[in-house]
Amino acid sequence: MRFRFTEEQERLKQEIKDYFRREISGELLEWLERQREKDVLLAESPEFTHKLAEKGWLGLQYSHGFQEGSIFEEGSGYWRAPVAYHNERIVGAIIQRAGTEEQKEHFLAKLTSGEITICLGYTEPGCGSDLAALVTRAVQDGDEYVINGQKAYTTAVLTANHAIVAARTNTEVPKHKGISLFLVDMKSPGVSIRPLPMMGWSADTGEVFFDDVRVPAFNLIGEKDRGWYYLAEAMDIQRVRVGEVGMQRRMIEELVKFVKETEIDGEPLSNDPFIRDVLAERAIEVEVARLFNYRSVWAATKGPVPPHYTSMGTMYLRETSQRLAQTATEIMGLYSPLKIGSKWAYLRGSAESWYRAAPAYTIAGGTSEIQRNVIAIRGLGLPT
Amino acid sequence: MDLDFSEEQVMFRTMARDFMVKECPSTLVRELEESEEGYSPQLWRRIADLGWLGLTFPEEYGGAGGDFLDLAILYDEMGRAIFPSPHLATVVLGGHTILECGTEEQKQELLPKIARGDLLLSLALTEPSARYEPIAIATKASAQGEEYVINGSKLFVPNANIADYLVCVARTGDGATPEEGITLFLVDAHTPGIACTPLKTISEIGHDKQCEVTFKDVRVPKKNILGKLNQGWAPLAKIINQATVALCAEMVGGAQAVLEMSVEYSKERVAFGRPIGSFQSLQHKMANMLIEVDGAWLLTYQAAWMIGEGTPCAKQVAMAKAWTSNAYRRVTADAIQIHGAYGFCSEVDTTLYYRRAKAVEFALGDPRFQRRIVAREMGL
Repeated sequence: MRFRFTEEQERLKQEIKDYFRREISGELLEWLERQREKDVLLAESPEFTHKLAEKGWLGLQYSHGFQEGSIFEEGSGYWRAPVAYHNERIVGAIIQRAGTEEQKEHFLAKLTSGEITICLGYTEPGCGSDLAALVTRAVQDGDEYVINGQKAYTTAVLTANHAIVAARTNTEVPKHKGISLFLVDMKSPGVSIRPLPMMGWSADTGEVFFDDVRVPAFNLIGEKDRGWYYLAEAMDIQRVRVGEVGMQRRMIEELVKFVKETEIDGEPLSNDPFIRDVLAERAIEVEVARLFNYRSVWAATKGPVPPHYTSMGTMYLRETSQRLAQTATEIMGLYSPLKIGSKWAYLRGSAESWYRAAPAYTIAGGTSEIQRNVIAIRGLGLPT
Repeated sequence: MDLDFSEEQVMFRTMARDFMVKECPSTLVRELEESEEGYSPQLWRRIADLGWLGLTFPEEYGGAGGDFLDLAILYDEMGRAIFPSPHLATVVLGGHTILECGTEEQKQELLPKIARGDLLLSLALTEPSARYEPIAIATKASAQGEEYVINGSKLFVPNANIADYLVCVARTGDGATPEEGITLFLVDAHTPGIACTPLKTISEIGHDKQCEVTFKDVRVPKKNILGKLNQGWAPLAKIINQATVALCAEMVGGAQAVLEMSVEYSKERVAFGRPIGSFQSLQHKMANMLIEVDGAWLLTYQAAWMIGEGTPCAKQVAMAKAWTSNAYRRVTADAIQIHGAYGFCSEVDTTLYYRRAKAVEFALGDPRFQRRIVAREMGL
């Protein structure tokens, strides 16, 4: 039993931290602030992504292992690094698991160099939680597939240059058994995008329409009709959210600093017993969320991750995030609804943007209700 | 990060669990609840023979030389079975204090006896103010020749009714801070002037059995001071940390047991033509219980591992106790809800765990107290 990283991993963590601390400053920081003013919380800078790719950090998962990839992801979340990473990591894992040697050679390098950036084309207007009911079709035509259909609520659809698209390739079998995954170039003829502004979190969400989009058969990832299973496995990675653990740790630290430096009636807010108690409570929850997520990371180094581990990690983390947003607003009171750029806004309006983004946390990537189903049925073995 | 137990630890856990299942059925727990002692002297002897009393003592003092993780595993299993014993009071609060700050002579004399099961101890710490802070120590010890004379009142002292010795926390002087001027005394529990009154409480087994202990002109030889005069708080804080994690491990075991009971029951109990465990309202409740239990497991073993490694962990210990106390209380209440009226019957084990969870929630500091420590450690 060991509740810390190895010395080598600690060195890597320190190196990443030093790099982000140094590089995320000056012009880049100003650019990030401008993105935040435009309500882009998870900004991605292609130049910065390329710099990280050159250091080999986007491929840590393949060159070193899942723990190292996670150390990088937590660091980039903590420092709010504008890097395309999480979705690329998910698709990389699918290709590594199910792709041919040629596909690995062709795509993995591009995913870890920042050349290919990804949005996840799973959800449709008619299916989210019941994802296997998706109706987007892909029909083989020679050495191409022709895709028709629509994806919705797709994060990063306005910025990513590729989508991993789940499409039905067989209608004669039960719904889980006729789905395939395609890596689609967003510049392909027939792809059209419509922005779908959301209340918060991300300004690059939208819908994407596929009208007779022709995709090379080479871009079919894994076996035809087995996409659902790859997708389910990839959830193990999608639901490991150490990047968001880093973001939450940062938020707590900023709130601690804020309450120590802010005085009301000549007394720092940090003397208020309510504030001390509620921040300690959130800190404990963030620690549990961190442990849940690193338990999944640890399990992934040993074999298939029990599905309920990642459901617990992601659901508990996201619900904690909502409570943390509420706590930030309670601490700031009347000041908390002030937006970034406003006179009197504390912490650059982060309480406002965090709180406004919060409802999405327990929906995106699997609702809390679906996660609890997974925990109950797969984790506790309860009957369906 | 590595969350696996070593092979030896897995073997030890299996052995402890088998012992508890065989020797400590809940019927025995209920019998012992009715007893004055609140534990079984026969089973105490048995676990002494197994080496579980001296588990963490070095071999030269009759111990097994195990580390703190071994102790956590043992408490996990004792908690699962609600094993009623004065282990926490005798071994951790008493024995570990002697190990931490006793003289070589005190260690040689007392630790082997504790390990053999011949000596029961407890820690007389809290007072009617019911606080685990140095400022709350009002009991006074004044020097008179070769002795100290102790006067004061201790409350919520676990297992004092059966203890041979008490480690009494008393004020011997005034310092610049409340920590200064506190001294630990090893007191023969049968010294004239000591009066012990067991308290009627929600759970009266093992260390839940609590007493009021009054000291009226109790004379203690100077050589019975444990550690340094006026500097008793620092070693005591360390022992409180250890005992807190042991308690957390015990709660983890109990919480896991009631969750398993709930899952099994909900698979078998049929209502509206289906097992009740197939209803989402119950599934989601049990998913929440698993969050509570696994969170408790991770925080507790993290703290236990850090104690074993000797790294500072006041924050992690406080986090573990704050979370685990709440988790145990909520999980035991949910378990009764899932079992319905049946789960509320005294003869059903859910009620044993429910009462126990309330008793340990406050022992060694309740969640609010623990969060005060967390806030302090966060720099607030």
